[in-house]
This record gives sequence, structure tokens and C-alpha cells, in this order.
Amino acid sequence: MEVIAIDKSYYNFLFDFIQSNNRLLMNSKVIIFGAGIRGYNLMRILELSKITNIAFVDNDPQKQGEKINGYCIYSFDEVINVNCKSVFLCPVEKGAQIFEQLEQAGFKKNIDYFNLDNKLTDYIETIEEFKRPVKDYIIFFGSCELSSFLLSDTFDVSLAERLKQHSLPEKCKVFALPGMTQRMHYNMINALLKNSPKPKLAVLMLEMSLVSPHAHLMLEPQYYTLHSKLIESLIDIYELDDEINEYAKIINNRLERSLGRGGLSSSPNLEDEIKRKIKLTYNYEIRGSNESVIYLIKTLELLKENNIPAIITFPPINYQLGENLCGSDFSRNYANIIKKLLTFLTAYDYDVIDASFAADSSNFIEQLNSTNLVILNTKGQSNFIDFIFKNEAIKSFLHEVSTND
Amino acid sequence: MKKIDIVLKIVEEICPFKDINEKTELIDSGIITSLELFELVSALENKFNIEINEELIVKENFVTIEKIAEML
Repeated sequence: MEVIAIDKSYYNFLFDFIQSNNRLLMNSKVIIFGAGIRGYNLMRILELSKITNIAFVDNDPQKQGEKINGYCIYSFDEVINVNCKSVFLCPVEKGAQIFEQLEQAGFKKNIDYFNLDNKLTDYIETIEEFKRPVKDYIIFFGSCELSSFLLSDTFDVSLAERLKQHSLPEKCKVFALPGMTQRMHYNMINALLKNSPKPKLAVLMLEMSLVSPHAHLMLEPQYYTLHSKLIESLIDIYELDDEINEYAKIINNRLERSLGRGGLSSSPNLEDEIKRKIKLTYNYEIRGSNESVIYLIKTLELLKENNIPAIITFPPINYQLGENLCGSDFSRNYANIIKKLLTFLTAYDYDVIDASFAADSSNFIEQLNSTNLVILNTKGQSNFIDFIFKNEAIKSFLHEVSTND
Repeated sequence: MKKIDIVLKIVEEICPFKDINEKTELIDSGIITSLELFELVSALENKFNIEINEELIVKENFVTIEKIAEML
């Protein structure tokens, strides 16, 4: 069975939309505009809500005539000539061109078509997590491996939520936003330490694709927007230093120049594109001058100045899939990146939880054309949680707080 | 080996099976895609042991092999 991972807040947004428009969707032909990953995710959520009167439309002639899960992909001209009540759902990023196409054909916004772009509300939950009063607590910082959850799995919870349950919610803060960079994490930790009681322990969960040399330049445009919104909210509630203002300017600049997805064309050969992406994000040459390394070091310095013990975790990676796609050197290259990264950090005290090769491929989601090798399924999440909570520092922290209470 | 020849060799390794010379248009022709651009930047940084300032990583500097060599 194909399993789909999706950001929790985006899932909630789509699910709420479907619930509040259930009658309309049940009584119409539901046409998903865009036969990509986002369209696929929306289709699965519609199906979970028992809405199956679905078709896809895509402007890419190569996709037209194909099927997704048995649903046909049509051209726009084909669907507008069908004589039945249709509702267009558009889970697309930068959909201006598509909305213009729909308007010109006489369709009205929020009546005949709906913009279901990711509203990027994840940051609101993160700000709530900043403000949530806790004391004698542990912090976890991670990215998409923490914030995603599985649509078709047994439990609709993310790894972040599981971590919180295991650490006792009143004794931990978990910061899990997709598309984070080390520089953003540094700024978030800095904001937290300047304005909140200090945590007893900090766990930095390093998603190695976000440590890669140009990860900060390759983000999808929506994530730069997410960074901006988060920074604006932090500036509203906290006293912060100049670094965060500087970063806000840089983020806007990176968004404008975006060379990642949407900036240049993609390869027409999907298989080749996937292999290239995986090599670029998991089999790279790491250097001490990479922005991610510089800000990881700054984070460790910051924690040291505040006498907060640090733990770095390397989450499990689907190395078997990596080897299948990129060759038998994949695992050795990946292990070498971690080894080299640690040589840049020798001046600092920290503990390491290296779960890189602790899980086989049965612990990961199987996602259509995914280039993310770290999204665990329910079994994988449980195993990783067990792995993390075997760490002596975490065990003694939990023992101490439970004894004190 | 001249800088321009090294750049040409790197681009040929990243984009095999494509006929490329110093003046070939690389971006609008689709020879270099988003991912290949970052592969190229990494390869250049590693080969020349330099950091390419992010302000320089713009389409205009990667239009041809000549332009890339000029930027370096």
C-alpha cells in the first residue's frame, strides 16, 4: 500500500475545508487541478472523507490521458465541456495562472473553484509552543522528519507529538517545522533562551538534507515564506538581537532569487531528477564553511554559554532505498558526511544519538517519487523513539523531573 | 588546464550526452536544471576550493561556460 506523508497543519487545513464543504463536494464532480504530489495528497484526504467522484486536470500534456489511482487526468478543455456540476480544487503553489484560466472560462472563486494552497499556518503552532509555560524542560528541534505524519497509517500523529508524549508534555517543548535550516534553528533557540526559562537539555535532530551545502538556497519558495512569518511573529512577542533582523532580510532576498523549485526548469526525466536530488541532499561533500555547519557551531556555542547540555541526533535514513537508487556507495558516503561533520564540532561537548543505520526500509513510508529518505512510518517512529529514550542523559533527565514532581 | 576548460569538463560530467561548448546557452535551453545548477556550484566549489557567494548564484552567471568562468 502506498502511504503518504503530509505536514500536519496542511492536513488539518485540507480536512477542515472538506468537512465544511462536504455537501457541495458530495454533490459535484470534484476536479483536482494539478496531478502532482499535492493533488495526490488531496485525493487521498478526499477518499478518507468518502468523496470519490474525483477527476484530475493538468495543463501538462504529458500527464493528460494518464490515471492516478484510477482517476483520469484530463486537459482543461476536456473538463470544461462536460455537462455536470463541477468544483475545482486547486492545491497548487503560485496558482495565479491557473486561477486566471478558471476565471476566463467563467468560473468564480470560492463558488466554482477553491484555492487550497498551503496556508502555512504551522508557524502559529510553533509560536504557541514558544509561549507555552513549562519549567525544567527538554527541547527538541527538528524539521520535516518530525512534522510530517502519515495519512494511511494506524495513528495520525507526527513524530513530534510522539516525542512530546514520551517526554511528558509539561516537561518538553518540541519545535518541528518543515523546511527549517540550521540558521533558522539557531535564531529560534536564541529567541527561546533570551525570553524563557532555560531548558535543562537540548536535542538537535539533524536532518542531513537540511545540512547540505546549499540546502538554504534550495528550499521550496513556501518555506522561505514560512521562515518570514515565523520571524515576524517572534519579533512581535520577544526582545531579539540584530541577527534575526539580518536573517529576515536574507530570507526575503532568497525568496526573490529562488533558484530551487520553481526557479529553473526541472529535468523531464523524473527518475534522473530523483537520483540527482538524493545525491545532492544525502551524498554531498560537507565543508566547515557551509552555512549549516557555521550555524550548528553557533548553536552549540550558545548552548554552552547557557550551560545547557546538547545532544545531536542523526535520524534513521532509508539507506536501502538510497543504495537502490544511487548505488552501493550511498551508505558509505552518508556515514562519511556525518563523520566529517563531527570533526568540525570537536571543540564542543555534546552527546550523539546516531540512528542513521538503525532501521531497515520496512520502517519508512513508501511515497510516490519521494526524495525524502527520513520519513518514518508508525513502526519506524516507535523504534526511533525507543532509540532516543535509551540515551543516558535523556533517561536521567526524565528520572530527575519525575522524582522532583 | 585553463579555467574555462575545467568548467567545461565539469559541466560535461554533470550533463553527459549533451553537446556543449563555451558558448552554448545552458539555462533557457534546459541543459542545466535547478538541481544541476546546485550540482555544478558544489562541483566548482570543491574543484577550485572556493565558496561561491550566494549573491553570485543567479541565472545570469550560469548562462554559458564563458560566463561561469568569468564569474569565477
